[in-house]
Amino acid sequence: MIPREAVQRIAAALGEEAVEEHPARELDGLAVAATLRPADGEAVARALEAVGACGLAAVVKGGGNRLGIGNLPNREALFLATERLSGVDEFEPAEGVCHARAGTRLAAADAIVRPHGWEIPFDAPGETATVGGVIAAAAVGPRAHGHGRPRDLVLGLEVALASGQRTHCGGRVVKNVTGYDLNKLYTGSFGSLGVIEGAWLRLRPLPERTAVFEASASRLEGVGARGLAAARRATARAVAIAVSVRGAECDVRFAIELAGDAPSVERDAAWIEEHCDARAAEAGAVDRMRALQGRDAEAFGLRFRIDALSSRLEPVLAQLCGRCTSVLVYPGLGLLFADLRLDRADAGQVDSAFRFAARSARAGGGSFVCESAPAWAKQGRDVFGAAASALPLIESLKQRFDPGRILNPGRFAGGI
Amino acid sequence: MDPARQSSTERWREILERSLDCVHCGLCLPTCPTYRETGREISSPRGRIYLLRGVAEGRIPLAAAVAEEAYLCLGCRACETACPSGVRFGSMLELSRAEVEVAQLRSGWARRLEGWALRSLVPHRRRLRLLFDLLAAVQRLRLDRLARPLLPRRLRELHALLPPIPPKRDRRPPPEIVPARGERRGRVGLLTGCIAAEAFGHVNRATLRVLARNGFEVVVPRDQGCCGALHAHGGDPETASELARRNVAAFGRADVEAIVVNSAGCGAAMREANAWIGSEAEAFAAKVRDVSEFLDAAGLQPPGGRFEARVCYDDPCHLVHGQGVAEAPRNLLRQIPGLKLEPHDDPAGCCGAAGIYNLTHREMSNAVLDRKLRALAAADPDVIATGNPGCLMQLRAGAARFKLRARVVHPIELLDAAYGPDA
Amino acid sequence: MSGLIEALASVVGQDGCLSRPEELLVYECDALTLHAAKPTAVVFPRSTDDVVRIVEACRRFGTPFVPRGAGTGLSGGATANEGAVVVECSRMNRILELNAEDRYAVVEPGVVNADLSKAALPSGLFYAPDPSSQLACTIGGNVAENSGGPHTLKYGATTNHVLALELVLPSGAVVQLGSATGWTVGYDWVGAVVGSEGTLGIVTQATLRLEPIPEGVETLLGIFADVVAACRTVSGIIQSGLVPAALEVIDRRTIAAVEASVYAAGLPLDAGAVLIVELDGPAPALPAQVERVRGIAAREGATRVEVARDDAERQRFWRARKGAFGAMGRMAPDLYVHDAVVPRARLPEVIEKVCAIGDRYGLKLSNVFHAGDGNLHPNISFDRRDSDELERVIAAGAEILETCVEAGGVISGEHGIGSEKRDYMGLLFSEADLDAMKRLRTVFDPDGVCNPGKIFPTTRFCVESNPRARGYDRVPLES
Repeated sequence: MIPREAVQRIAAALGEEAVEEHPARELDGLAVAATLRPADGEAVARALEAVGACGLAAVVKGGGNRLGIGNLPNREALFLATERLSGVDEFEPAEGVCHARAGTRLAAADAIVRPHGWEIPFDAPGETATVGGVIAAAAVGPRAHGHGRPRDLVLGLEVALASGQRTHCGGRVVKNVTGYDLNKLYTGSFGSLGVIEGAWLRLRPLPERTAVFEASASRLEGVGARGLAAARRATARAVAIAVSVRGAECDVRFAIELAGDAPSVERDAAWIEEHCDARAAEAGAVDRMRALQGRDAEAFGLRFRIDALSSRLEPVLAQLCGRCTSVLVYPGLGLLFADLRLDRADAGQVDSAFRFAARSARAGGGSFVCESAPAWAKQGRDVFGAAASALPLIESLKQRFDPGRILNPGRFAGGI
Repeated sequence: MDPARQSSTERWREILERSLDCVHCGLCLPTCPTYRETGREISSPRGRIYLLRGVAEGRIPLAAAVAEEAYLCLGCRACETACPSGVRFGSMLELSRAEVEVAQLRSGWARRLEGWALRSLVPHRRRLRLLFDLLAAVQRLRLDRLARPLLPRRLRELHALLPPIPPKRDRRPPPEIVPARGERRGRVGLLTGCIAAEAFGHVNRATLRVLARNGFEVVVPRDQGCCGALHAHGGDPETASELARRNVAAFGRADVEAIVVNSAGCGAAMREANAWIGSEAEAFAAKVRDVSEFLDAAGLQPPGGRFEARVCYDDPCHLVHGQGVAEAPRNLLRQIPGLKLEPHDDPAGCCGAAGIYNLTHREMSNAVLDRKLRALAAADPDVIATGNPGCLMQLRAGAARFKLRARVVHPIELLDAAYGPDA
Repeated sequence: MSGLIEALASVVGQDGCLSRPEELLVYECDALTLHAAKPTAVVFPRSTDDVVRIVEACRRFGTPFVPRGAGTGLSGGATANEGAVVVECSRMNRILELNAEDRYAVVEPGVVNADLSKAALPSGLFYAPDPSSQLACTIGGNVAENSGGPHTLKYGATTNHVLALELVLPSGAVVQLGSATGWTVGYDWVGAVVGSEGTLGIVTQATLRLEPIPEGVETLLGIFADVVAACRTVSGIIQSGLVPAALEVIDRRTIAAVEASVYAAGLPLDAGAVLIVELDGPAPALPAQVERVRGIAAREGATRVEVARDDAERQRFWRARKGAFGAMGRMAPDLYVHDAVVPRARLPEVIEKVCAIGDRYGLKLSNVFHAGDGNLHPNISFDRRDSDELERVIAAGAEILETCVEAGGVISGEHGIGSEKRDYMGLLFSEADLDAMKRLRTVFDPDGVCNPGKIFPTTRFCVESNPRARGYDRVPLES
């Protein structure tokens, strides 16, 4: 329960319309009873100051798709929603860059640049996904293979720090080494260092031609290799493989999207049809696969994201299929999303599942994040796995950017 | 300005002027053998230029470290090939060595032996011949092998470099005029060299045969001598100039269209003779051509025979960097039926011979040589071809040490073999 | 001080520690000769462990240290301010792993950029960032400066190719950051360290992404009556959705300098500018792309467009671009290579302003630039012994930077801030912006001992020229 006077104080700073008290919404076991909706960057800064002054904390909320990624909050918090920070406020078609405010939905931003031959190169699942949210979560979808990842697409950011200081880093230009590249640090920081107000993005030109293919298989052997071979075609923009495991059986579906100039796409299409035993599919095939990535894990389920070296995809996939109900693979990106079902609310089973995920990640030469789990299963655990030798650095950075621990409290790697 | 007649002040002024060409970009670093071995800026061309500029501007004294670097440099001039702003480091180096000599900053046995050899031995054909007679006798009687364990280390190493000395009859000077064969295409002179004339007489004879086969009448002036390169590189511009003048006169009298040289080091020096002794050498310097460049430009008569071998061509520094000749020898070798030219990883890097560097800086020389030999070992050719006597000796010694099966020869010998025996 | 040198020598041996005045003199600057500072010593580690012990020794004696690669940097990033010890990584130059299947290489910092591509060639791969100094510069330096190059346009800069790093912190601790898979859990430390100009620690190992060598390449040379038309063509190409591998513009003054030098490439002296367009990628794509570029160039008034018929001709096109630096270098004893970025649509007007600034100060200024990225390189030939000219060079440089920032640009695209531009940081960043950067700095280097005096502005200058950034003295970092 948030003290009355705190709400009043914040409302005084932001305006009544920017503060909504509502029935408690659960966030990983924490009841969040109010949402702040600052109208602009200045208001974000004032909100943070006020939240800090009241001894409260804030969880930044964009589209709300990835709020479930994180450790258990360790203190009372409000939502700080970016939805009023919305719109593409600068766009120069001759430069291939745009500036979007943090709460701009990807679809809305895309609608602005697309008529000029560009697209917003973010592909995270979730209809409500916002520019700020995708950057804060470094969220990718299958098309990150062709588009690149948020870290490579963010040119500049405006960020309000926990102290209420408003800052910017990077810029609007596509090449920049002026000062430290704080863009990289904020991207994927899950709102633990500051609140992203807006971003300069590098856009991608719309492809002249796209082509989508589907394929299926009933055996795991060769699946990873086939997916990787497809992903390594010059025009491959997205390759996704969904594996459903039913006992000893499995059902494997591929979706492959090519994008580029017409002759190259046609050539690669012929190759895909021949070598991947694939047939042409409707345009939404990759999006349907991506929806699997976005869907919440079942009530008694855990979802792990595991990254692996290309050469080890196949054995890691085989290992995961021995225990998981379904696995989604983006071979070109080296990512696997594995769903595990628990029989009951048993911490021992969760321990075992985390150990299994760690083992699989090790086998792949990578790491894991538990992207979805019931709150009880997160108890006493770090869903980001162990970030090893960098943990003291994580702790130290948090201390310097957010000494009052008011941003996404306790939820980021290392429980900071 | 003739370096031999320059005062110290003038030399430093010239060093400073030349150092200003350097924009300090660092592109020379990876091409420099001593930088590649040490990673030290001071042992790189850019560092040495900066150092010399520092002395020239009076920021630091001409101290031991400067002298060490002046002589640690192999003088390979790979930096000149790499330099975008056209720094001519080779001549800066010669000026700085002359200054190091003036300041008497070098000492020790190497300095004394070198000084004696360069002044009292190399320029004098008769004394050289006597020395080689003696060495040949020693080798024939295998005294060298018997004595080897008793020799001090330095002399043992020197011995390892020494090629088999040909018998006296093979060290006879070639005829003064060799007529052209077939259609006459011109009249050229040939530099036979000092030590090369004794130790590489067969290369000179092969050169004469190949030139004749290609329709050139060749004049071998009797009164020619050492080109003076070693002296110039060794900080003795006086002797270098004297020797250059002797050759300018000898070849001037010979009335030739070109002065053909089969030793890259000599060729590079002779092409710059005008820089030492001024305009009197201009016509002479303009006529100097490496034998490969000369034949390639003239158009090679296709060899009739075959030479079945996989050959690695290795660029002598003073051909590729000193004279900018890289393609000509390769072009010639490619025209030999049966010969397959194999690339290797380090063709334009120095082999570490660098005149007498392999005697004065044994360790660095070996390190530099090893890098090249690793590249050659990886390519595993039947034959290694390189057009400079010092490199031939160094690569032979190295190939033996690395137990490579390849023979090391001058490219002209391969051409000569491909033409077959004289009809 | 001799205590420190003894301690360093005990780590790396006498041969690995330089301290004679002559030896130190040559380390007083990198490729930016205007900023010079003599180090206390120069050490040559051969392993991560050596670096740790060097750092510990420096800490014991309270001496700062600066990592250095080949010293080809153009912003004074490797200058040893405050008597720092230079940690020279040239002897840590092994390629430790080259994994063709997973397309990455693990290298030590002293590996030369071009050598990595050479080693990857037999596997059909290459290392994409190609700074003009790539034959000499090292990976460690590239990581520090986030180096770019002509092909950054398509392939990205160093930061887009570094997967993981081993870093020795100023405390002497060794941390492994990132992963060969390219994914990180927690903060993107690799992204923060790349481009930090050696101020966060010493990189002792880097895992780098390798790219497949493109199937085909086409190079075009467009001749234009003026630089504006060339820039409009660049904008047209970008807007058309083409992503060329490189888009390079050479202006009239540079053409004149190049054609008068040994790099003469046969460019028409009456041309106002030439544009090099390199297209690469799948072979079937190229013919149509070449035609599209031709079309755009013609529309914008190109007087001629040539397409390289073979590799030799491609080399000829590039010769002018690559020789520009040297050609300008031959015009005077010193060469100042500027580096700034503007939004690429603003190139024409900014170039005109830059030339006008050069003229106003009576300087020999010319432009070659990575037009596709909006990355300008105004080159000024001068003689530093002429103190009046030197002053004009500095003043013109400041005006150029201001002009670029006014156009929405930034003050460095690939050379870094280093010693050179730290006092101009206030043009772009507020006190709070710089403070955020300092927070990062203090995580790694709370005492400011790693490459001191770089990136962050000094008080004196800020107060004089930019009241917004007042109070930003370099020390103490920890607030």
